[in-house]
Amino acid sequence: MSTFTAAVPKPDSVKHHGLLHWFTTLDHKEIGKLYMVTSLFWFVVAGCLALAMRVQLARPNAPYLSPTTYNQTFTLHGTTMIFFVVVPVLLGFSVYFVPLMIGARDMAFPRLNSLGYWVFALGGFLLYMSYLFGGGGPPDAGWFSYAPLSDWPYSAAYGQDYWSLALLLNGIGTTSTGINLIVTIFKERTIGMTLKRMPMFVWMVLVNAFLIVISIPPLNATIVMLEADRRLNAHFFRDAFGGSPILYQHYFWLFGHPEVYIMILPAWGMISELVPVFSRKQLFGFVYVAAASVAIGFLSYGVWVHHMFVTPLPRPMWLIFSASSMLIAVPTGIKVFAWTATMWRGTIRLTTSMYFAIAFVLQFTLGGLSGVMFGTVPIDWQLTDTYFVVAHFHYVLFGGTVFAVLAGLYYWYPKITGKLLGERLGMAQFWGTVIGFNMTFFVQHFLGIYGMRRRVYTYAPGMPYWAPLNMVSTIGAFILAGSMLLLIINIFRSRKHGAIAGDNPWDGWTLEWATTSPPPEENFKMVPPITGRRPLWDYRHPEQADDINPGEAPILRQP
Amino acid sequence: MLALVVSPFTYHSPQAQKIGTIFWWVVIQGLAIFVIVLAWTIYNLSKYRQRPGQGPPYQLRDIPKLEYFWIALPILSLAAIFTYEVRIMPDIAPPEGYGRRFPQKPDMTVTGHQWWWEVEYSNGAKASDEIHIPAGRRMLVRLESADVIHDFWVEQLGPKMDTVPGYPSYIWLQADSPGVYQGQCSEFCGAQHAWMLFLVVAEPRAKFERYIDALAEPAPPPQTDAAKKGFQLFFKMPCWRCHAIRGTGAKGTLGPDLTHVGSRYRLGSGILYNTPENMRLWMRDPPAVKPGIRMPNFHFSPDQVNEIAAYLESLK
Repeated sequence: MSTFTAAVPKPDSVKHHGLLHWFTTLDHKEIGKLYMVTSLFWFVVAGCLALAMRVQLARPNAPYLSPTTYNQTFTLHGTTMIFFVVVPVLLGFSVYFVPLMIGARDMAFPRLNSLGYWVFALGGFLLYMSYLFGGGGPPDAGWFSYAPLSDWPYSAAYGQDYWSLALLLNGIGTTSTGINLIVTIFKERTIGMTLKRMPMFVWMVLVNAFLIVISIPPLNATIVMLEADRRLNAHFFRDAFGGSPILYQHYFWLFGHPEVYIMILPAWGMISELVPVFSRKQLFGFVYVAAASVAIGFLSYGVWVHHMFVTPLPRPMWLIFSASSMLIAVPTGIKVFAWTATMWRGTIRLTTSMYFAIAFVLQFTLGGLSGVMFGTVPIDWQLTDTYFVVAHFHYVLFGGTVFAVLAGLYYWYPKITGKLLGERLGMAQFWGTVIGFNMTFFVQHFLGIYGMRRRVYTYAPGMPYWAPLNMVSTIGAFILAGSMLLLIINIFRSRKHGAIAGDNPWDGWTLEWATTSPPPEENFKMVPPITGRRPLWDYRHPEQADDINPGEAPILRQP
Repeated sequence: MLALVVSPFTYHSPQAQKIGTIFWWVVIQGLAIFVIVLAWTIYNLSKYRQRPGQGPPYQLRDIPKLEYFWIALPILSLAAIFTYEVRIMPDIAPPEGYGRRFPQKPDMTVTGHQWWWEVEYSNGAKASDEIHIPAGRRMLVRLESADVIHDFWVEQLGPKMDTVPGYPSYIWLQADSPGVYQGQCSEFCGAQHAWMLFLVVAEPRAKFERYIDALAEPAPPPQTDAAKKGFQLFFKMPCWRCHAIRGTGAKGTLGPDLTHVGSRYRLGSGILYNTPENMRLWMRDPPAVKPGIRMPNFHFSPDQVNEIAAYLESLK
């Protein structure tokens, strides 16, 4: 009789090849790649949905999409982009690079890591199964699915149930990966890698993982309550039976606002890694940036009501949450300052990656500043639920996160594949993305100010400037889509025909550059001595080393 | 055709004026900060590009004084915005946005339905999708919802406010000068959210008084032959089950009150102007005009369409 412990094989003790390898792998690098490729797939799908909406809105009274189809389209676009593109692509980078950056062999729980990915992947496919089995088609109550609109009888078809179950699976997967990241960062750091010496990316991922673990469960609880209302006739959110539709919004945004930071923190981390490398200078004010991230983590739990400023609330509530929302601008300002001050007096190398990072800083700043307007209650009363909001959060999520992910991709692709991404195609893509993005979303600020609401499938002719501005936005969306096509071509072409990258093409200084590209399965043969925040820099430039404990011996050792 | 007042950046009520002022404050402060970041980035890019053969720069770690300055600057700027916000908020919204009891009697109650607006004045007169107010007077509007969450928003006149089932909310509605303003539902509420529009008609005091007095009257009896046939058809078909016409037996509450439908500017919550041709177009096939709505197609014959349209148009 074998004991229970002996019955569980060691991770990776069974090797498979071909397709089966991808289903059975427990290697954090392979799972990271799975996350990234899955996100890219859903990014293309949800991007096509966005193009369909832009075609419908290009001119007034366009006949292409019926109101229900349009509502289904924006519901799936939002849900997919948030839960199946932005969050998982950042998790992919986290799962791939956190163990490398802290000199670990793998994640703390490789099996949990695999479980997290596969549950998330199942969620994505379940969401789109609603096209086939949803009865009335996919869900159409918006990514926020406010009760009572998402409740029976206003959304009676099964599409809404598919939405709930898909997000429930997604939430389980994301939360387990969050737990895994926290344990990995606290328990698996190599000798000498104190919290003070952790790379900024790992710091941001740590804060992010805490946000995931604390804020995704409220969403899952809300979804369970919503389903209980829908299918078991409970009355959590039904006013007529003593429930409250406002309660749904509180629960949802208690998750929803930290979610905003879940979607940007690792992106800030990427920018905080690659701007210093391409400026040949350490991150300006490391301690301030780390403290600002932790502050944002805490503050993000005290601002959710700014999504509800147009619901009937007592006035003190409006003011308290207005003040706390404005406060978030302060730590965010510290970060923007740190990135620009890192470039100051550096020696800047303008690679494609750095171009994307600079565009990120400027666009994110603009998106952050328009965010302050929504923290101001009277402005929120005028502009919320208009295209101004659409412009604002696309500046943060696309102009911010997606640009940071692109910068990170050009920066780390050589580490993942061993080949450099084509720089000429990269620059063509950069300009296409910048022009397409700003053309699509900058004009939407004006559409919002001119009174165009969100989530309308069409609009009347004769409204001031609506038709020309919408047309510009649609043309921009197609330029943006074209630039994304260039990116996909670049990714697949460079895998075969790209220049050989070598271990450390950018002269980076965090630990992932101390191993081969791509890294071997055990990650490191040798780990350089961790004498400060930038081990490889200290090793190459001992005269300018930023030693924290100068006594430590600079010798290679096994991890 | 009616001339809608649609001109952003011109304000037609004291509430909108206040919002406009704080809007420009925040925009100017934000743009100033953005220009600083942009200028500094461009300066860095032009001055500190790596030249061939250049070694690593001095490894500057931090300048705490600069950090403190950059922390203090947004705090001061936000404190100024917040102080101003606290000062102007009582001028923009009623003292309590929330509460089932409210100390003051509202001038009218507006109820959001999927996908039309019901208006009930304090004298009991009812209308739909069209709100008349006396110019220059601040009206207190009570907002309710019959089904899902909607949002009452007249952009030219000030803030918006959700209508939440079970949570009545209050908002001020005021227009400085006579004019016709467009209102919209701005919380996503289902299939026809896009065409859940309404009109706010601000008119001189005397004209407004005449309007609500006439609105409180029962419907006039049909005069022409076509209208008389339309009247009979209204009760032969199930129209009366959903619609009310005061002064007749029709007391349905699912659809808009039709007592004075002929005097309205628009039909179908803003999708058509109220002309005899459009009324016939609507009666021929309502879901074709406005996909997703609750009113079914009754497959009227062309004669029946003309008769029922004639009757409804006669309800001035």
